[in-house]
Parts: sequence; structure tokens; C-alpha cells
Amino acid sequence: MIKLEDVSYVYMQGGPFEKTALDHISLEIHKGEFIGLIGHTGSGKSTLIQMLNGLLKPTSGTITVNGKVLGEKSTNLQQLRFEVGLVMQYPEYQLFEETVAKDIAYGPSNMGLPKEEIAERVAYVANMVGLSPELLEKSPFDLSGGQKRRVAIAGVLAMEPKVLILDEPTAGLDPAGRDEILCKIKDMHERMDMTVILVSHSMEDVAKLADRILVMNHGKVEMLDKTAAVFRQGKRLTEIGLNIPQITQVMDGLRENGVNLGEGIYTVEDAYRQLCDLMNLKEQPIC
Amino acid sequence: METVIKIENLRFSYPSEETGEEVPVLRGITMEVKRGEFLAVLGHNGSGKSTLAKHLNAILTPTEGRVLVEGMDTADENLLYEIRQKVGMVFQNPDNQMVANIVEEDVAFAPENLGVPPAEIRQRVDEALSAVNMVAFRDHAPHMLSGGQKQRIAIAGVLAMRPDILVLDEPTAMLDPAGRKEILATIRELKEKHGMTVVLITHYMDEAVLADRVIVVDRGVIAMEGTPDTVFPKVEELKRLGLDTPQATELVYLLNRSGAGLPADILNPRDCIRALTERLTKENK
Amino acid sequence: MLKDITLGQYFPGSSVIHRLDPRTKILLVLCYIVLTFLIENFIGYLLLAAFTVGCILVSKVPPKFVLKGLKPILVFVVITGLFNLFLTRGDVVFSWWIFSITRQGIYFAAFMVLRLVFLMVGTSLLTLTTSPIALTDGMERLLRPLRKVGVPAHELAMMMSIALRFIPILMEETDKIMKAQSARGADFESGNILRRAKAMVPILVPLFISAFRRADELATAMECRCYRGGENRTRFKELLYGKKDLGAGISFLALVALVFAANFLFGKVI
Repeated sequence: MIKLEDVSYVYMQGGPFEKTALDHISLEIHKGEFIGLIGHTGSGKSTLIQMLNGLLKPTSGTITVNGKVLGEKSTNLQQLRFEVGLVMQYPEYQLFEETVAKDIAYGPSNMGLPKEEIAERVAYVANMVGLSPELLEKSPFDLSGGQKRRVAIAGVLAMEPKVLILDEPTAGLDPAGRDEILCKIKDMHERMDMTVILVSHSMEDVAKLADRILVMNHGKVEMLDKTAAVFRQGKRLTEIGLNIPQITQVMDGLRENGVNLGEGIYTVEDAYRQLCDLMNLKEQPIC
Repeated sequence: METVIKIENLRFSYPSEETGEEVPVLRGITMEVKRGEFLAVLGHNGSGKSTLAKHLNAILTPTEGRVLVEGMDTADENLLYEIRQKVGMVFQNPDNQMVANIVEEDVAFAPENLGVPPAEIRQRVDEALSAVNMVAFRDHAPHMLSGGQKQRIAIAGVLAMRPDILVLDEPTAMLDPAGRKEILATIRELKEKHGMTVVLITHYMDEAVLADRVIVVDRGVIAMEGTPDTVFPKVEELKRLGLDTPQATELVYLLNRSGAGLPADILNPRDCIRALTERLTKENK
Repeated sequence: MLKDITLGQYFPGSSVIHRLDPRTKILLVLCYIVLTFLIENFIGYLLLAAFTVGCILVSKVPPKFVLKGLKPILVFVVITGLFNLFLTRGDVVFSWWIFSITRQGIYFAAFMVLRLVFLMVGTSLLTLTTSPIALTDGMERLLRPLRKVGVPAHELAMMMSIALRFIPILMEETDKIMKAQSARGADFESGNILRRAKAMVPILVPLFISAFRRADELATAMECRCYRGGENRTRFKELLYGKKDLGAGISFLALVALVFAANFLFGKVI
């Protein structure tokens, strides 16, 4: 689905501020996968995602998305952006239309779709992100922070991209808002048959959703593996300045103390189940 | 301990733009802040916690009730600048708090406003910058700094007023994990080394865990209050208020619900590991 | 990245000229501009040129930066020169078809071009050696006496300084918004003017909203830091005239004396 071969990106090449953001990266992401992308600020993750939908062009190397090679003249960048939807950080700051419905329709109308289809898509994605129909005719600026963000996400979803990239979709939201967005993203992934790349600083969030985790460090791929396998390398993650979920810390600590537990536990539910077994307690359903 | 801020039955409402009807935000809050304590005010977005914060230095004044800062009523306009000097306030977005193009000039902004003589401003600026460990950056332009560094400068800008109380309104919401750590370390150092009274408004429970006392605000009233180890074990109540608990606390809560009989007041992984190890080795014997 | 561009055209350095009090520099540049108009012959301009070149050398600003300042007014200079050349009446020295050039025309044209060039070079040297902050600061101090007649010197300076502070932030923001809208398929590059203007709406609306939000937050933050206008305000870094400034003043006076001597000795060219 997405394939990077020896891709590099250098900011302001030749200038006094030259900076290598991506350093000879090769990786592959498959159709329908849910990828969690983590790395601290400056690790190159923003550069990477902007490249995947053609906002930045690689300095060297090739990127193939859905069979199209980026940078080749025959590849229409605008077309590519409809296939790879990018929700940037704090996306609510890009809203501009008079009504929520019009704002969501901006992407599809840039695609040149017929009116009826646009209306259909708007209704569908609004429902998908949990915006009630009466909100559609309101001004996006009258909504709450969490609602605005969902409008912005809907605006990208309405283009029905094959790949959806979200850059820190939960930044600045409170726990309830965060859980709601994450829940919707999970839903979308399952129901809309998309490949999803979720960029986040929060290990806890990524752990809940991702099939595989891509860890970036200093412009290089540090790890790209199944979620559990990545969390098995807690030490290395801490070394490169990333947090591991608290629950993984607890389980790792117990194992160090000689408790017989599996490696790579990263959700409270799993930890609870394993410990119940160990202590012969009766498992209760988790609300 | 001495009370530095006293809030009595604080109510605040504003007229709605559409209907003109009064919209209540704070509906009767009574609380105190003690000198030298680290108080965390938790609540989801829209709970009224930021409105509460803005009452602490007279940016907003009560519709009903009173707010007293070291005995001074915030409704008294003659005391306005004295109150704002006592209560330093830091906001979410560091970019929108800085006025000058050079770090030390920005830190000097408040003392300049207060009419402090230049020699003393120099002293205050140096003091404030060293309190947040940013002396090395005094000549830098703010837009070249990282988020955490910018926020530390914003804190220094407030410290230059030599306040008694530092109120931080979601100071880490826009920062990355490294920046958040920087700010939390700065806050703790200010409290421990400089005896600063700190009021931290947040919705991150991992920050609130560090406080001496926690107040949970919900729909304009105080819903919970106490030390972190009495508030956070109430996992279900917190969830209902739209808040999190530390994962370690949640695990212990779940296990106890199944009858594990662990101490409930566990807030961090270290204590959790200790309690579970003890329990599990006992089992094996 | 947009945020890395330098603001204004300040060329950082530590030369004597860089370190002069901004007020001295502003005043001297004003006098310098007046002087260019008082010179009556080419010897005077030679003196002025020598002084200017001397200043550029002392400032260590590469001459090409100074000359870059001339670029935007080049067309203006050429047109002014041509107008003076062809439209001044007097003793004809050359004529072809309907065009005729007079002796007076040549001199007027040369003088106007020289004046404009020196004016630009002088002000460029000021902005190249003085940071925008120092400039605003200097202007505030110089305007201070005018407060009594209602000139809001402090407010103007504060506005300037905040504007300077927010330029890089808003540039970065524009870049982000443009990217976000491009990601939704916006096309800023094709179509006629009307279409392109329309394509700017999705950028301008969020940008304005963000600017207002920032202004609002900044105002609150400033209030929290006890801001109440220029009243009773002290300054962290008081500007002080020093020996350097005296030296600069005396050098400039010497130039003025020389120019007047030249005027007297060699008389008016025209």
C-alpha cells in the first residue's frame, strides 16, 4: 500500500540551517493496517506524514503510494491527496465555512463530485464522527473544542481516502474527549476499510488501537513491529526518551521481581486478566 | 497553615449571546488555598475550572460571593494591581503570553509595568530566569525556543513580579511529553526550593497526582476534594466526571473489585509493583 | 522553514555603528537626509560619498547588502532621472527629434539620482545596523516629548514590537493552514485571478480567526502582568548616550562643516 525506499529529506539544503529530517528510510505499510507512529519532537514523524500525501517531496529515494510513485510527473498530487487523507495537528484551526456541512463539503467539492453525492457523503461522515444532524447547519465556530475537531476530521473523511493519517488527534482534549475521538477512529478503521496511521505522543493511546507500531528516532526508523513486540523493548524506548505505558512499567517491574507473567502487556485489561489468573481471582467484566 | 486565598460561595454567570439569558458557569464554590501548598484543580473541559482560575487574580470578578487574596477582595478595583502582583498567572499557549522579541526583555515586562527601577529589574530578571533554569537563553528570540522552554519563560515572566502564588491554567496542554516533564519539574522546584504556593489547573491526572491536595470541579461546583491518595482510588466516580485515573490505580481498583484486598491508595507504578509483589509472594508460600 | 527567515533586514554585528544608541542613529540619518538636499556641487557629494563609504566599512556590513536596499527604488530613480533630464528647460546641449537635453537638465538629473541613492543607502545602513526592537525603542524615546501634545508614543512602540513578535508566528501558522487546506485538495496555483482570490478564503478566514484569538489571549496575559499603558512605566534597559554617540555626532558635524565649506568655495553648479 505504502512503500518507502531509501527516502531522505533535508530542510533548507545547502543553507546555513540545513537539517536532515529523514535519513535513508525504507519501510512498508500494508492495506488495512492500523499503524501507531511515535517518536519525540524532531524525530522526523511530521516530515514523514507530510511526505506521504505529497506536501513535501523527498530529497532522495522513492515513495510509492497505492502503486503511484511520488514525484513522477505522471502522478497527480491533488489526486494523491484525495487518496491519502491527512488530519493535521489542531485541525479545528483550519475550519472556515459558514456552516459545518459546508466545511465538511470543502474536500469533496474540490474533488469535483456531483452535489447529491457530496450531500450524501457529508451526512455519512458526520454520523460516523458522531455529529448530530442539527449541528450541520450551525457555524463551526459555535461548537465546543471536541466537536470542532470532529468536524475537521469529518472534512478529511468525506474525501473517502484509502489511507487516513492523523497527527495527534487527541492533543489538548480532556480524557472524555480523547476517548471519544479514539473510539471513533477505531470505528472508522473497521467500517470504512481504511489504512490508518495514528501519530501520537501517548503510548497509552497507541497501545489501545495499533496493530503495528513505528518508532522514529533522529530521522531513522527505530522499530517497526507488532505492538506487543515493541512494548517488550521497554528499556530501549525509555533510552530514546519515550514513555512506555504505566501498566507496562508495572508488569515489567513485577516480572523483574520474579513474578511469572507474559511479556509485552500494554493494556490494563490484559494486565487485570493475567493477574486474576495468577491470584485465582474471579474475573469481573470491565465496564 | 495560613490561608492565602479564600473563596466564599463564588458564583459566576454571563449573559448568553443568543438569548441574553444568564449562563451559570460557577455555581457556589467555597474553598481555600494554604500558603506553600501545591493544589491541583481537576475537571473536564467546560467544567468551569478555567473560569475559577481567572477569579484568582481578578481577571474575572464574582457575580455573587467573594474571593479574598491575602485578605484583599478581588472586587475592589483599587487593589487590582496589588492582587495581580501577588497571584502570577500562566496560560496554556506560551506563544500568546510573550510580548517581547528577546527572552530577558519579555521577563522584564511585568516589572516595567510596575515601575520598578531598572537596576532592580535586572536583579529580578536574573532571579526569575535562574528559577526556571533558563539563564543561558536570555538573549534568544522566543520563536527559536522549544515549547517547554517558551512556557518556562512565561513562568519566569510572572515570577519577575515576585508573586506569592502561582496559578497555572493547563500549562502543559500544548506541549510534548518532554516539555511537560520540564514544566512539572519547574513547578516542583518552585514549590520546594522557593516555597511558592502553586495552583495547577489541569485535566491530566498524572500531573494532579504530584499535588498535595486535589479539587475536582464539575459543572461549576466542587465534586471531590482531598489528598491524591483519597481522591484517585475512586475510579468509578472519576470516570463519571470524565476524568482518568493512573493505570496503576485502575489496576488495583479492578483487582480489589475481584477481592484481591490490596491497599487502595496506590498512585504510581512503584507502589503498585511493591504491593503486588508482596501479595503474590505471600500467595506462593 | 518560514520561521527561520530574518526579520526586516537587520544584519547582526558588533561594530561601533551597531552599538550606537538607536536615537543617535535615527537623528543622524534624518540630518543626513536633509544634508543630501543642501549640497550644491559635486565636491559636496564626493565628501558625502566618502563619509558614507567610511560608515559602511566601519559597520562591516557587506556592501552588497547595502546596495540590495537600492533595488526596490531602482525604477523610481531611473524615471526621476529621465524626467529631469528631458523636461528641464535651459541651454540645449543636444537635441534629436522632439527630445532635447539641456545643461541644467543633466545637472538636475544627476543631483536627483544622487540624492535618492544616498537617501536609500543612509536609511538602509540604519536598518541594517539596528535591530527592529532597538529601532522601535529609539523611536519611542524620541517621540516621548510629543506625548504632551497627544502623540501615543508608548502605544505605537508597543504595537510595533508586538507586531514584530507575532510575524514569525503568523507566518508559520499560514504555512500550516495552507498545508491543511492543500491536504483537502485546495488548489492555490491555477485558474484566473478571481478563482485564485477565491481560493485564498480558506486560508484567510482561519488566519484571521487565529489572529483574533491570539490577540485576545495576549491581552489577558498582559493584564495579568499588570500592564496599564505607558503610565508610570520604567524601562529595563535605559538608553544612555555614551562617548560613541558623541564621537558619531562630532564626525557628522565635521562632514556638515566640510560640505558647507565646499558649497562656499566652489559655489552652486546651477
